[in-house]
Amino acid sequence: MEEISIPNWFQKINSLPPPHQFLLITIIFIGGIFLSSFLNFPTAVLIGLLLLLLSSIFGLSAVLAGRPATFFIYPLIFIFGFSYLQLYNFYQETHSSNYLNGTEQSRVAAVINDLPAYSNNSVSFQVKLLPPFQGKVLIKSRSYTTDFQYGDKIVFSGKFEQPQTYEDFDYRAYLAKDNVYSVVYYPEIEILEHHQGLWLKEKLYQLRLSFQKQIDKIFTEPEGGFLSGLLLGEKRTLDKDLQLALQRSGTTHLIALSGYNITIITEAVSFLLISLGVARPQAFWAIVIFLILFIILTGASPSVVRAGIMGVLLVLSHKLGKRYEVRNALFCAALLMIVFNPKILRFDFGFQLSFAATLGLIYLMPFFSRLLKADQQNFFNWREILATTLSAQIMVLPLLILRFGSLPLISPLVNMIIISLIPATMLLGFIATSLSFISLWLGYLIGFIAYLLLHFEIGVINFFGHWNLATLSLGSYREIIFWISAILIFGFSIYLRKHELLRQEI
Amino acid sequence: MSYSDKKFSNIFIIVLTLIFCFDVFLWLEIFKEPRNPELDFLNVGQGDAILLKFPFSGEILIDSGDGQQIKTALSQVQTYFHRDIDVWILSHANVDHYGGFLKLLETNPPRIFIYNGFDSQGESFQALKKSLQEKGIPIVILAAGDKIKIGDSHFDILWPINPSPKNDLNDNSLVLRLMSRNHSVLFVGDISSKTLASLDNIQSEILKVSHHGSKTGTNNQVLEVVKPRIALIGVGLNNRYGHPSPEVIDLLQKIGSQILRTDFNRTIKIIFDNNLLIKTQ
Repeated sequence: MEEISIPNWFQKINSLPPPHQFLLITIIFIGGIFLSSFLNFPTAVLIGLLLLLLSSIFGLSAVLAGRPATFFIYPLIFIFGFSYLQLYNFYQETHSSNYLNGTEQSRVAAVINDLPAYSNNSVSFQVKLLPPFQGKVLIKSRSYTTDFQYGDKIVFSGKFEQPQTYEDFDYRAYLAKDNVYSVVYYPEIEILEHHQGLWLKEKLYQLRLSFQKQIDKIFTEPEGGFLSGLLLGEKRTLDKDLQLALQRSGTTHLIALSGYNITIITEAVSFLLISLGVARPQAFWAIVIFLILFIILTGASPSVVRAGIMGVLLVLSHKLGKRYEVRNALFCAALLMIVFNPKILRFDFGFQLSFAATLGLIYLMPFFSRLLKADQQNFFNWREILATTLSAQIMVLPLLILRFGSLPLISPLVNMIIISLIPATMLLGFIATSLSFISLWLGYLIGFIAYLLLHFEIGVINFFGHWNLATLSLGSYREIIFWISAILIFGFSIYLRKHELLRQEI
Repeated sequence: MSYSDKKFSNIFIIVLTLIFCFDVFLWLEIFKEPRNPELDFLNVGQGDAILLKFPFSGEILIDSGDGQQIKTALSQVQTYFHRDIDVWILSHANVDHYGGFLKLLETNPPRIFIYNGFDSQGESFQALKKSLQEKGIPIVILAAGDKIKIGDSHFDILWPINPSPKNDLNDNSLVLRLMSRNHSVLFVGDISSKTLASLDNIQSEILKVSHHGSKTGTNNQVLEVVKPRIALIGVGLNNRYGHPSPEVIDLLQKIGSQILRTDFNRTIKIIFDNNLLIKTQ
């Protein structure tokens, strides 16, 4: 029999140590999900079967020729990921309210299962339909004073519609990632009962609401709205002008609670603590507690929980020596989240930002720390903070380009100016608001310092955000530039890793 | 620097910063009182909101916009520690005039609430009244002939009369004429030009133009009697009503009024000294 030589690359893969094997398998699995997310069910089935056929033929013939069975396994994993998304989608859609779209329904019973979002005399909230109906629906309603709360049992009458897909925003996919397939606009609603949701979740949301009200009391606008964004991810109280300025200056992530800012803030808080002389072990626990409190305060929405997990992982990276352990932990966490809901990979911008930012901090931080000589003594560690900002910003850049279609030119500058102040702002704002429950005036007093910081930050954001040159609109080049930047940055990270490993060996 | 030295210097910096902030706060408190009465025509978009400050006597807010921008607008004319407003006056029960009161009620309620007594049956207005009652804030209904005295300034209420011959919420708007430091200001809510022209004693230096500059609120007759030197119009940029109407702008220009509008000039500050000092953003 003729000897077919085993390709070099395959030998390398086979001989990888387990942690790296694990990473490879994870990436392949996720890759399958990613590809699958572009295809609709019939096409996917077709392609899936084709892939299965091809890899079966290839794999079987390889095994018959004496190759190791792993030849077969990697493609299988890919196909597994590929099918998983389709199966997940299939299950969700058959259990959704899809079938009601386009119909008028009367007196449908449902329970509000998420925090209602208020804005300008209207409110929107997600409800879970009760038997004999099924699925989750987004309701938009008028509200001056009617207090819709998490856990309210309602009956409503209105028209079920499929969510629209807008030109630059796929609203349908955005809702679908949370398994919501219908919207009902301004139905007639009657509240039947309260407290029909989970007890703990209800308490958490109540806490969040009363905290939000307290911020409103202590602070003027737009400072209060900005602080609500920082602490709670609450956008409704935010000035529209300011929202625009935030986007143009590349600082939206601060109020998005996507986890991108949690990641950076976690880093900045740990620097703050260490520079105040807190020993590393205590700082670690303080940050974990901070993250848990933060997650609780914001009502523990999935995106915040994800962000919190990534934040903890990041803090762990300071404790654990070996970088690949943290990297694997990150991918493991991401894998678990994706298995739980595979749609977040492509459709949850917040997840993508969190993941990319954390990855950036793992891969790029050492390089920038060394470049900026961050181990030198300096005022509040601004060098380390700059290194953090740059690491996260660069890794996140392709995503921002793809999503907003513009290059935030001054974003690094603005972020650098503000980000070192944000943790202190958040901390002071939090303390002031908490104290104000006991004594309003104490809250005002401490809040004044937070107010000054907020005022400054908003001033900077407005100043830079209103420049014409703040962003460069990419128009139809957005996708090309996305790919170019993604490949460049990816290549750079890999290069750094090799470079680092070499340096360590020496 | 040793480890504990570094820790000490960081704490030292923080303490120094705190003392500095406290110092700033003290000076702000000292300088907060205006020396002259001041009228702040707030930029609340499509709506009216006017804050009046009377030195060492108190502050009055006439109308509050629809609620979306009132807090931001107020923060530009008030300081952090001085956000209380003593009196709220509602010209008439339209949401683009009382919306902001709902927003402010939770955080900075007034000591007295004044309006014309004509209720809207809408949900939000009823909610406003209910909240005011629950908080124990006196609701005072004023009519033609009543007066408000504050410091060395005073308001004359010129409309509506009791009982009112009009059915319309707009046409029963409170009309107040403010006399302060030899200057006069006429506040007319959303009243119609016909009703306004029928009133006595409306000649004033400053006119809060009726109904955001709509042609139902201002005509030649009104302007010939009021003869305002300054006209204030509360409008949102590119609003869908086409306010202010070009005819009204024309009429105002013909009589030589200085037109100040929130869509172009944003928040307008007028200080009542021997002369009127006008500041726009």
